[in-house]
Order: sequence, then C-alpha cells, then structure tokens
Amino acid sequence: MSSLNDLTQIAEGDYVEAAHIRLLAEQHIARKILPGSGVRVQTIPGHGTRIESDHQPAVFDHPWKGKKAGANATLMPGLVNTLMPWLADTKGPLRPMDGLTPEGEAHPKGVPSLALREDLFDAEGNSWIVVRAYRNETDGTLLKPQDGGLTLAQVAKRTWENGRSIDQEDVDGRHYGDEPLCLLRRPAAQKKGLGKLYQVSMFHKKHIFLPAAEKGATGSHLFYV
Amino acid sequence: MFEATGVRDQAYRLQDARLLASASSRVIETAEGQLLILIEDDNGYAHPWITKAHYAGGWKARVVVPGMVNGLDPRVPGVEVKDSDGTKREAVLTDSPEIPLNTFRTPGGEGDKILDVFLALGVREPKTDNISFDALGGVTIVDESQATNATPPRELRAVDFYIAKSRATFAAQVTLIDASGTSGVIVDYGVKYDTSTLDREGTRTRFMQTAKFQPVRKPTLAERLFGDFQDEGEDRLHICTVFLLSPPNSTGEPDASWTAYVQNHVFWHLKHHAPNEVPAKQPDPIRFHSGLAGGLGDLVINQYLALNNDLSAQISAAVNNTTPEGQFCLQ
Repeated sequence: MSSLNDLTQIAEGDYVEAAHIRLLAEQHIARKILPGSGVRVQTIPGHGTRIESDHQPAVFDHPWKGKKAGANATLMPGLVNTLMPWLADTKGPLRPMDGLTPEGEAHPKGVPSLALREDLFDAEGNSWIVVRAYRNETDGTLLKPQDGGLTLAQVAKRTWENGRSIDQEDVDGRHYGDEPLCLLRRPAAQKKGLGKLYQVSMFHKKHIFLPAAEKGATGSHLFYV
Repeated sequence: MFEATGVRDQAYRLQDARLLASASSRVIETAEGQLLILIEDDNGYAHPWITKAHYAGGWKARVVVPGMVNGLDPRVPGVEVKDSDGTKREAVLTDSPEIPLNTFRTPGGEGDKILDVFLALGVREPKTDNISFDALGGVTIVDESQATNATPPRELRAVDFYIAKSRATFAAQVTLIDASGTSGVIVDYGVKYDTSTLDREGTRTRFMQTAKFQPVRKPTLAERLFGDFQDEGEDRLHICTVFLLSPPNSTGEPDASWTAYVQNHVFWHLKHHAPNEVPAKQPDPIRFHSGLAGGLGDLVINQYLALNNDLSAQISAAVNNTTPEGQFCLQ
C-alpha cells in the first residue's frame, strides 16, 4: 500500500492497520500548503486555510493614461509637438494638464480634470476623450495651449478615420482636429452613466496639418508617433 | 473504536484538499508540502492585445486587454454575447469574450518552423525520409523516424489570431480600341475601383482566427499594369499565436491535459491608414495611341512617340501613387 488511492479502497469491516495511519500522516504533510513568493498562508484551526497574495501588477504610467473618478476623468500628461494641453475645470481656470505652473510649482488649483457628460455617447454606447488641436489659419501650426489652442475634450462622433482627423470648425470660426486618447463604453441600451474607460493611445504625439488637395475640399490633421 | 471507513473518508478529504495549478499560479511538490507560487506575466504589465488561453469544456482564448484600431475595438465575427436585457449581438473585444479554438494546425515543415523552446520540451520535427542517389543510380533511403530521442515525444498544435481591416481596392483596367481608318490601336489605361469587401464587412476592424496566418499578397508591377490582379480589399496584421502542447506520449486532439502557450506579436494600440480613398469623381482614363498611323510617316510617328512617352510617365506615376495597401502604425 503506497498511495492515497489505496486508502480510499478500504471497505467497511476491514482492519485499520498501522500502515494506514502512517500513510495518512504522510499525505497530510504532502498536502500542507507552504507560502511561496508573494503569498501568505494562514491556517485557522477548525476552519481552513486562507491564501493571500501580495501580488500587484506593475504600474505603467504612460502618457495620456486615463483614470475615471465619478463624473470626471484625469489623464497623465502627454505632449503634442512637445506642447502640453491646457484645460479648465470647475476648480480653476485654464492650466496645464500636469497641474504645474510654468515655474514648475504645483498650481494652486491642482491637476485639472475633464468633466464627463452622459449625453455625449453615440448609438452604440461609445464616447471618446480626445486631444483637440487648433491650427493657425495661415500655416497650419498649432496655436498656443495657454490660449486654448491645445486642450482635451469629450466627443460622441468619430471624426478620424483612415489615420487622419477631419478638419472641423468651432462656433468661433477656429479650425481644429481631434485625436482619440481614451474610449468610454457603456451598453448600447443604457442611456445614462459614463461606462468604463479603455485606453486608446499611449504615446506622445506629433502633429501636422494637411491642406486639402482640391479647392473646396476639407483638409485633415495627421497625429503620429 | 476507530473505523476503517473513517480512514477512507480522511483519504477522500485529503484528495479534495490537493492544490491545483491555475492560470495565475503554479504548484511545486516538495518534501515539506505543496509550494504555491503566483505567476507574474510580462513583468506584471498587461499590454494591449495580450491573449490568454484556458480549457473550459474545450480550449478557448480571451484577449485580456482589448486592443484598439483607430480608437475602436475590433468586432469578433462568429462569437455572440448577451446584453443585460437578454438580446444577443456580435461580440467586440471590450466584452472580453471567450473565443473557442476551432481550427488548429500542426507546426513543422516548410515555412512553419517549430520554435526551439518546444523542440527542447520534446516536440519532434515531422518525419522526413533522407533520399540519396549514388553514381550507379542506386537509391538509399534513410527513415528518419528510426532516430532515437531520449525525450518522450509530445504533440504540438497552433492557431493564429489576426486583425483584418477592410478598404477600397484598385485594379488597372486596360481597354483596347481599334481606331477606324488607321492601322493603329487606341489604348485606354484606367483604374477600376472595388469596394465589395468594404460594403460586406464595414469599416470596423475584425478579430479573426485561422489555422495559419496568411498576409495579404502584394501584386507585382506587371499584374497591376495589366489589370490581372484582384486585391483582397483588406489589410491584415498577425496579433498572436496560441500553441497547445501535449503531455509526453500523448495522442489525439487537445484536451484538458495539454498546456497552452501564447506568443504575442503586437503590444500597442494601432492606427490604420490606407493611402488612397475612392475619389468622388471617377478620373478620366489615360489614353494613348499605339502603332503606325495609316502610314503617314516618321513625323507623325515621332509625334505619337513623344506623346506616348509622356503618357507612359503618367501611367508609371499613377501605378506608383495608387497602391491600395494600407498600413498599421502606432496610435
């Protein structure tokens, strides 16, 4: 007799032998749980054994990494043509998205966050957090972030396809292009809530404006890595 | 009194208490007990497109972190999910759907080399016969299957996952027109547009499964010039390969006793760009004349040749600039 299977074959009326008890003791030892790397084992007599882990996934704070808290989203700083977007929120005026002043000190109003809206979702339940780049009307270069020329926004419609973003015009007549950074997804049937946030972009970007090839057509913005 | 059945019941409980390995843990039997170790993959960072395989009534794959193309996750044709209101729809990668592995290949052979790691684990190259001829025409055949190998043999299966993005495609359209009254021929070189794949599959990227990934074949210049080639109308990118390794001396199809390994090829979100779009207005074909012009002589022929040279340059530029192939790049 040498295995646990042999012990399970014992039938009613059989004699209990010393070998049985010894084998049981050996199997108890063989199945004792020992803590390995990152694992804690706590045996509670009469109840069982609890296994806990210290395992934490490595943190990768890449550019544009988004985090949703309630009805606001905060993104790790990212750059477009080495410029950092500025945005204003309920806590304060237009300021860099890293929450620092030009002198490198913490801004008194802290890191700005983007207020998310439940009505800015498409029919499939998608919404996007984008970096919005306004262009100079003359040469297509980026406007200054401190003038609102580079900021973050939430949109319900994809204006980028085939690797380029369509040139759009706002109510003040300024032209801009959007590049997606994060996707918000909620069930299509659900008309409320802000859904779950998924990352779309993880790199600093470069930007150029591509004028239309034909007169009367629309130009496009190219964001690339 | 200590009953024998009490010993038996203790043995059953011990069997149930045995630790089993899982996707995130490994169990090592030691003299002092069972050592439980948690597995950290990819240094703990789960990158986009990372895929894992598990067995649950059949082998299944799951993309743990959904990848994005142009800011949207791909759809998964052939896999359905149920919404909270009970309606069924086609799955997308953010649903994190379980994708049944339903098509396998056996790696090995030309163009599908078995990775060294699997050779070291006991997978063998396919059997080949070594045939040689001597000077007198005699044939010697050495059966390689007779070679001994100390490691018990293991079976290997593989399945590839890729993404496909539909786009418009172009093909040259060459029309020959017999110019009446001359002995020459008028050649119209135009471009034919085809959006059938785009119309059928839509613009959203698809996450696809296949036994062996086949990239889209690029046409040769001659095929594009003479309009012989029909582009497939999509761009593809190989995302990962799921390998299933059998226990030693095992036969048959993959089951719960096999071990899964995933080789990921893509680690970032993507942007797709096809360089040319179908124009709203169909461009006029390039027309040029060929052959003698009713015997009018060198002067006229030279004029035609000069014009043809110009037109040939236009055609060459058109061929170079109207490639339909798109590219995947970093988002």
